[in-house]
Amino acid sequence: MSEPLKPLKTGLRAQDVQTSVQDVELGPLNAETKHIRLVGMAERLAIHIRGADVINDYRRLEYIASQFGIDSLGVLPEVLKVLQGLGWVRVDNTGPEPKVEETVPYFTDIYTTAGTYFQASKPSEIETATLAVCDALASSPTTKEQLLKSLGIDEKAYRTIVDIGKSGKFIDEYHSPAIKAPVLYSPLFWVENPAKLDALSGLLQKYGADDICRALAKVRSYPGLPLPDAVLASSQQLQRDDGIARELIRRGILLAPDVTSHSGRKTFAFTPHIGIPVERKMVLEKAMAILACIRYGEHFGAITRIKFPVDIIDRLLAPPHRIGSHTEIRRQYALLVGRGMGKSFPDRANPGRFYFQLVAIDENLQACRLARDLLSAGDLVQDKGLSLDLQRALLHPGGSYEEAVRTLPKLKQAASVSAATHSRLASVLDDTMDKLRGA
Amino acid sequence: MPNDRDLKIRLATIFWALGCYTRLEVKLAEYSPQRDMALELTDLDVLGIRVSPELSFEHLVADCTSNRDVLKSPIQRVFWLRGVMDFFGASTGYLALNTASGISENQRLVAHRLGVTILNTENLSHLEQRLAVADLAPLQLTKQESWVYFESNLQQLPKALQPALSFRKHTYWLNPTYHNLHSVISLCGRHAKDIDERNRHHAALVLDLLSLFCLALLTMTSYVARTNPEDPEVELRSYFFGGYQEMRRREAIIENVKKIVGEIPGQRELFADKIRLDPDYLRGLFEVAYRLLNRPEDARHVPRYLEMVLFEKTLYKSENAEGLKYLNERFSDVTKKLTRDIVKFFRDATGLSEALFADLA
Repeated sequence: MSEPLKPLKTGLRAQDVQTSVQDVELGPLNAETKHIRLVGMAERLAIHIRGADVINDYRRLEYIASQFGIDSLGVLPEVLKVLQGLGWVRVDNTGPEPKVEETVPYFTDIYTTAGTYFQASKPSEIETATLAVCDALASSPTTKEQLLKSLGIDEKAYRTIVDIGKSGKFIDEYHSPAIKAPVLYSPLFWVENPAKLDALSGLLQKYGADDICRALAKVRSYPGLPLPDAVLASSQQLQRDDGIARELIRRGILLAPDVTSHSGRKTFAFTPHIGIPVERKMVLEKAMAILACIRYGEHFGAITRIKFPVDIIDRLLAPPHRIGSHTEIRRQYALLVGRGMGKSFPDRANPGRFYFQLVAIDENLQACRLARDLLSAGDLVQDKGLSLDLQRALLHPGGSYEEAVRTLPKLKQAASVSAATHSRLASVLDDTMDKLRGA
Repeated sequence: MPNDRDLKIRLATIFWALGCYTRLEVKLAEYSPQRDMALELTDLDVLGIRVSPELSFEHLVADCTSNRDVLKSPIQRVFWLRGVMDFFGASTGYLALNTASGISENQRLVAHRLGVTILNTENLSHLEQRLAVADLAPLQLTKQESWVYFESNLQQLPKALQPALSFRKHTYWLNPTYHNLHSVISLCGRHAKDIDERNRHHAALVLDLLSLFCLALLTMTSYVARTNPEDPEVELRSYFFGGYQEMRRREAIIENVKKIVGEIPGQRELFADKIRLDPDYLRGLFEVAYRLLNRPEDARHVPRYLEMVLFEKTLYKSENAEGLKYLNERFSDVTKKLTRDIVKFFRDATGLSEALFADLA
């Protein structure tokens, strides 16, 4: 059996699963996902109430919670208990209505804490395995055989997990003619890249699921993995793994920005990421560019090599948002200069050396933070699942209430709401958010 | 507090009415290398600290005297007070004279140029009327006996707590503000075992130290509000270590120590967890500082709220209905919540018992 999922990943995947199953009637499978859903709900509610400080009107909290599938009859008190257990809210039940004080942390990732809480809450084997499967499929598709082997689960448990995943549309499977076995994949990931699923299918036939999964997982676990020079030289014969990497890049499944400096042109591989709203795709591209430049210094620095990549990002984040001086900076960070993300300039005191200074606009700073998340967790951590659209919709009537991920499963019948009721609810929600933000 | 006690309390009440957190008899001291300890140089009768909604600090000071020489010609005392004001960065000073006699106009004018208002007892009464100080009369912190009760009982605390008493009287005011964040936590952590959670005077001492900690925390928050409030983490950390350069210097020292320890066979892993600059509580400190930053209007009242709770609840066990009403009505839910956030952090960082803070629950 593989290593148990780390708390950070556990927390992240609990949120993914809960978001997916929010609108799904799971029936008897409800009990099999109780802890996941509670922790996922707690995480999602937490990131949305963070900063409210005091919530005096419990009804307002009920309205907000309902946006995340948290029913006020029974479920919300349970979620609040989880949040209390996490130390993120204090609930005063002495008055006629509960009063909630939130203390959701800003500077520590909530997912590690939530993941640790989940693991301590004695989840069932099915729940633990569900999160492990969700995490595995975030890296790459895999086969049923591989899953059974790596998770140490039996056929019955496997079917339950797939049923849960299929219901929430975060797991799906197709029968591969190449390996003559089911291949599982995550629609959460492929929904944004449906064409790439076909491309991947071809590769699975050609190379087999084991090797493809291994190649994708390797990149996923080390964002900005430096690729051997031969990978992009089309004329060269490659070893099998490098050949797979080349095919994955050619089909757009792996992303591979390149950086040219004193050690020549080098390419760095990234897997695409789920959980990043469309409006932040540009931020992701910038984050990958930053990481590629830093990985160059880490692996191919000609004079000195970067030992602590996170420190470099921290320096870019802090005023004066500058790194250096160093002889290689001018060429190594040319990719960022070319994208207008910063400028390089000579160190007058040390001829031949250069500084790089980030243009400290919000998007660039977000990209740095995302790059730091990718380095430390291999995934988006900060503000994951925080729906700016939802917030905007709540603040400015007329927008959409739907979250991108949640629009996938639409199995529940939508409640019929009259125009007057809708207007009243919208007004209450506006007022709620206004109050929560300190008006 | 035997000398001019009445005047001191009246000035403290005026400062409270002006929106200040107040301290009586702050000792000004400086460290003596010869004696290896802080030596008192002079003392300040009343200090008021007012925090604005934009988190800027204003210090008000007052000197109260019945000294005949000063009553005859207060101007020399005014010049002394100006020096004290400069020490605290105060722009406003009051020299309260325990006399009804008139004060010459030229002395008043020179005092005014120095930022000092001279008050005889008649001036003082009129000032109190203008500020409606009478409305505050029911509050315990405006009563002489409350202060005497508070201070005299502190003097009776066990010898083991003497460092805490010295700290609140002069060390705090001698230290650079950033230094006080760790100083209070470290002091309380060291003496947690000496503090009796069932003794109200022990609890009062802890709340008093907590109020000083909150002042230091608000100062940190104020610094970040002016430097980089959108991305505060780096600024909070550099402030905590005394500025960016000082932080880098300390980091370099730690790196060198790590190298030296790493050279000793078998020691690298043994001390790996201990040799690091950031204390365990630093993240938690950032959390509460950021909370204050986001709610300046409510955060600025936290030290005053603590001062009020100390007198009304901890010392006088909520016996005074007017005091409780004032606490309920004059401080917002967010101020109280932020105080609880700070208390939670403070307990975790120091190991002090939860029972000591029961009056803030």
